[in-house]
Amino acid sequence: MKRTGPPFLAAWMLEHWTPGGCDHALAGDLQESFRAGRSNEWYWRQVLAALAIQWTKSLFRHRIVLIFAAAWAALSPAWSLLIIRLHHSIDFTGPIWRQPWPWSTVLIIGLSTAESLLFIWTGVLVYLVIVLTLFQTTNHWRIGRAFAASVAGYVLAVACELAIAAMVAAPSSTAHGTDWGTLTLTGVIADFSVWAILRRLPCLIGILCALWEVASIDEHPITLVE
Amino acid sequence: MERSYLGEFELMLLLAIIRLGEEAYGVPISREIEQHRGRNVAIGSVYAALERLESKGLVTSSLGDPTPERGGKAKRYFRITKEGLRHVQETRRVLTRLWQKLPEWTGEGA
Repeated sequence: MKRTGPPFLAAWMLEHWTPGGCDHALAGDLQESFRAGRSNEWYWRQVLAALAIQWTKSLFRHRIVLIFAAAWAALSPAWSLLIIRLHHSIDFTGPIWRQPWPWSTVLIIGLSTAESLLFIWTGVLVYLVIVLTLFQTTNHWRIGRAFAASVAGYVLAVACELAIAAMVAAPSSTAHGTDWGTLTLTGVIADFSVWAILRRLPCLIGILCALWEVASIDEHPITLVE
Repeated sequence: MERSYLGEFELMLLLAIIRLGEEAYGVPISREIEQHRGRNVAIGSVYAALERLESKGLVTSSLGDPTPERGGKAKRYFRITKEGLRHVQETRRVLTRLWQKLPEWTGEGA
């Protein structure tokens, strides 16, 4: 059977999954070698190796982003605790809070999402102010795209987490009777139990998506000279 | 000036570039290395090492014209710089001296 081209999925992965954009010279080299008689298996091996190398380089280049995102996400339980304490001081009996279903659910989900996104966006702004002004003062920031990426990442992560929690019957704070009044800020920050770490994941993914978007301009230095 | 020696793979790449001359781009460089090492090489690792050499100022690169057999993608040609050539010669000098110091050893059965 006559071969028409390299494996479609492998070529697509190389084109779309290479951090910082596809290296067209490399992609062309792989295509040229494939047309010269290399096998599908060879092509796949080359693509997977190229992706592994590029991702390793990219993660190392973005190590400050990774460290900052992990540190900020570690603080998220303290933010949740502050929000819960704030809720206790607000009167939720007004007519605006007494909506019929499904608006009541929409209101609760929207409020809790907004509170989490506020924490994530504060983290993005702190990163931009501290890190970028210290090291990259002349960069053009892609703040709009970063914030959109954080929303997408956070919402997707929460949806995945809820689905997984429903499947494995994960304990919620209310289910095992957590008394929020007795918790301290330092206590919740220092809690690194499995469930505490899992609850931090949506926040970590949200802030990572945003910061990755901001930091990815490093990989396209040509676009900075506009 | 701080003196840095080339790694094994870097030296192979620079020698391949010297040998290929005007035709030094990813495919022939990788083929050259495969032929002499006797095993497959990931073209991605060749590019990663070449980019490292370029950042050290030992090679330069330029894009050629896109060709249909490459899906319309251009070749990236690499050339060794004067500094790169100096590094190759220095590494060769050091390795030769070290080999000469070995007492009547053929390398077989080691």
